[in-house]
This record gives sequence, structure tokens and C-alpha cells, in this order.
Amino acid sequence: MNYLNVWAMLLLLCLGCSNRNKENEGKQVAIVVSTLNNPWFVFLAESAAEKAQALGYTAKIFDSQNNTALETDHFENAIAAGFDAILFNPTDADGSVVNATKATDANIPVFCMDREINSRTAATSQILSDSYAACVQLGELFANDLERHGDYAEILGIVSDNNTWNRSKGFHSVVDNFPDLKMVARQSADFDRNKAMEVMESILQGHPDIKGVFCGNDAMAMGAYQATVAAGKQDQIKIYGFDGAEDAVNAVKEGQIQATAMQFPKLIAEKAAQLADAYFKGERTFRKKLPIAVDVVTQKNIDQYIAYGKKN
Amino acid sequence: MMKRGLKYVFIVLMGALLIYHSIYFKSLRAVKASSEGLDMDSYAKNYLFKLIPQYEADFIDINFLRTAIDENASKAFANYAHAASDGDFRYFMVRGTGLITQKDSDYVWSQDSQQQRYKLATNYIYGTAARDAAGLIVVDSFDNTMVFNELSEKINELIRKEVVPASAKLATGDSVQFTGALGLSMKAPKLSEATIIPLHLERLQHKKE
Repeated sequence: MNYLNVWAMLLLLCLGCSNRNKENEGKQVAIVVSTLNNPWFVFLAESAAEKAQALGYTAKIFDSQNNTALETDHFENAIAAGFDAILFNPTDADGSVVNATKATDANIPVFCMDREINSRTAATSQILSDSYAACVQLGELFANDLERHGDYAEILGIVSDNNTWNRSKGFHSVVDNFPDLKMVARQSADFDRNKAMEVMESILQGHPDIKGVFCGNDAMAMGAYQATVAAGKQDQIKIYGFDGAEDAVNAVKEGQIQATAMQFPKLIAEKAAQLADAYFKGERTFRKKLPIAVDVVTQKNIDQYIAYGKKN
Repeated sequence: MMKRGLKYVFIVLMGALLIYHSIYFKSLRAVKASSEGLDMDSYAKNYLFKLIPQYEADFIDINFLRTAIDENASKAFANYAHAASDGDFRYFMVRGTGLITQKDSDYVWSQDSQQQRYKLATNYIYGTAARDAAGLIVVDSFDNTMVFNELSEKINELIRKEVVPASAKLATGDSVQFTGALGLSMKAPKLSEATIIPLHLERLQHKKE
């Protein structure tokens, strides 16, 4: 009889343990990403999925194709399908607030990655690249490289994205101190390589003598570079990007573009997955905004970096 | 006839229910809420001219910081540095006194009693050091980082307008007192190469003729 009691207790203990493990194994994490048409965001989404899976969760990636309405559909589907957390790279700083709010209202934690939404309450936490501070450094580099004088152009990203303006404002907080540095053209190319190439072609027609171009991301910097090569002006125009994407890192190495700013998508994605894990384990106090520093990468320090991060 | 009426009422009710569940209303006012009402100029003025003087005694003496970094850099960063972002770069709010040994259009150099020279910016005031070094302004208090960064620009603008003009009166040999923000890399902290953004700059004494 005593043996039976002991066996029964052991069995209950084992069942209890296995149930606790299953509690975590059963959790599903949705990764809603603004676009999979840019390798940087593919890397961000895949890094988040890998980390979530490594932590024992099921992960599924949703592509919003830079469309807030499609993002809304993904959130509705994720809520209806019973996902337990959303790792979120928003399409629009204002427009995406409503989607994050819906999930939060449904008691599903939302962790923003890289891109920001304009709210302190809609998301559980937001892990963001400190674009402004990095672009202050890029601005210093740009001003020195151009010897503080000459005409230049700026190619902006998506105008409704905070990163676009944090980058632009950080850059201008420095270069606007130099009256002989004159911005003669400024256009948006929506963070898109092909659009940036077209924008740069048109800028070069109107302003063939520009000495530099500041681009809000690497895809646009590479598009601008293609246009300068086509116009035979690659030795005249210095190009600056932002992201730390593979082709831009190679282009810095080859001297095709002057600099990029290395964001750390793997770090951001893994941090978001870890915060979701902490939430599942009962943590409820999170920093609302967690900026991650960005490194400026030039030919001087390129050996320390690889695409999307630092060498180990 | 009655049946048909009921049918239409049912269809209208179903339609209303579908519309109600398809649309999610939220006022833009609610989305933008607190940051919109922030008076950036007053916030920056209050920070620079009320909060900073109030906490001045808490800021580290620059010579003490130099010794602290030499002895144990990681402990010095842990005890005295602040930063808005998670990374290698950290900011210190320091105070110090010294003699002006050199001056040009962009900087003044102050040398203290231990013959250490520090460079104070008097022209190019940018970056986030002045906002972040004291650790008194935190990003979590803002709806978005654009407002947080705009505040940094307002503080820098005030420094350019209200603090930097004091440097115009300085001459080599004058003794000065300053409170300033500086940034250092945790991996390679080189205090002698840092540029100090002055938040307060005061001539104590004219050079002795």
C-alpha cells in the first residue's frame, strides 16, 4: 500500500513537471514584420524566429509588405489564432499604434523591434536603434569628409516612419552648423533601392556638381551609388548609408560608399524574443523604450564588422 | 409582410454588427496624447537653468573622474555615467575649475591645478551628451524618440544662445569654473581627448597682468 502511494506521488510529480514544460512549449510567437522585400528585415525576422524557437516556442513570420491594412489583418489573424506574443516591426509610427493596441487589449504582449510606434502604452516594450545619435556621428563624418563646404543631397526613407526623421534630424543637427554646406535637393525614396536610383538620377540632372549624398538606409545608398556610376560621377560624390546591410558593408570595404551605420538586428530580435520569454515566465515590468546604440562603419574600422553586426 | 420586415431588420442588425466589429476607432488625439502638449522650450530651460544647478553638487569633479577611471574604469562608468541607449558610449556630467591656456573660434582649453588640460566646445554644440549625462531625462517619459531627440536639440540651442556667449569674454590666463557633459567609450575611455559641452561656464578671475 505504501509503495502504491509513493508511485502515485512520483507519477503526479512527473505529470506536473511535464505539464509545466508543455505550458511553455505550447506558446506561439507571431513575428509581424514591415517588409520581407529588404534583406535587413528578413534577417531581423529570421533572427527573432530562431531565438523564439531556441527558447522553446513556435514562431511564425507575417509579412506586412509595408501596408498598414495588411498589418491589421495579420494582427487580427494572430489574435484569433491564439498567438501568445507578437514581435513587431511596424509599418507606420502612427498607423500601427491601433494594431498594437488591439493585441495589448487582448492581453497579448507586443514587443516592437527597430521601428517605433508613437505610444508608450500600446506596446509592452520597444527595442529601437538609436538612429539619431548615430546620425550625429555620420553628420560629423560627412562635414569633415566634404571639408565643410559644397552642395549635397539627402534621400529620405518612408516619411511616416520615425527612423526616417530621427536619422535626418541627427544628421542635420551637425551639418546645418556649417553654412557653406548647402543641401540642394531632398527627396524620399521610401527606403527602396530602385526608387533611390531614380531619385538620384533626377537629382544629378538638376545638380550635377553635388559632392555628397546622405541616404536614410543602405538600400537607398546602393541605389544612389548605381546612379552615380551610370553618370560617371562615382569619384566626385561621397555616399553615406545606414543599416549595416551586406552589400553596403562590402561597398564600404571597396570604397564605393563612404560609411554606413551598423544597427544590430540580431541583438534587437533576440532581445525582443527574450523579453517575450520573460513575459511568459511572469515578468510584467519592462522599459517602455529601449534604444540600442548604432556604430558608424568606415574603411578605418570595417575589419571589425560583418553584415548586420560585429565580428566575434 | 411582417416576415419580410423582420428579415430586413435582421439584415440591418447583422450589417451593423459586422461594421462594428470591422472598424476600430481611436482618436488621433489619444494616439499623440502627452508629447503634443509638451512645451519644449520651457522643458529645456527648466532642465538647464533649474535642474542642473540644483544637482550640481552631485556631479563628479573632473579630476576625481580621471582618477576613478585610471583606478577602475568599469566601476567609474557604473557609478557616474548615464546613457539613453544600450551600447559602448556613456556620458558623464562633470564640474571643474582651471586656467584658460588656449582659445580658438571653436574651443577653449582649461588646465587645472594638476596640469590636466580639458577641451570645452564653444561653437559646435550638438549630440545628446547635454541631455543624457545627468541621467535626469529618461526616454521612457516620452511617447516617441523624435520628441526626446528634439529636446536634445532645444537644450543644445539654449547652450549656444545662453551659455556659450560667456566664452567670448574669456582670455588666456583667466580662471574659469564649468559644469559640462562629456562622452566616453567604455572600451577605450580617453578623458584627455573628450570634448566637454558646457552647461555652465563662468569666469572666476581675470588673468593677472
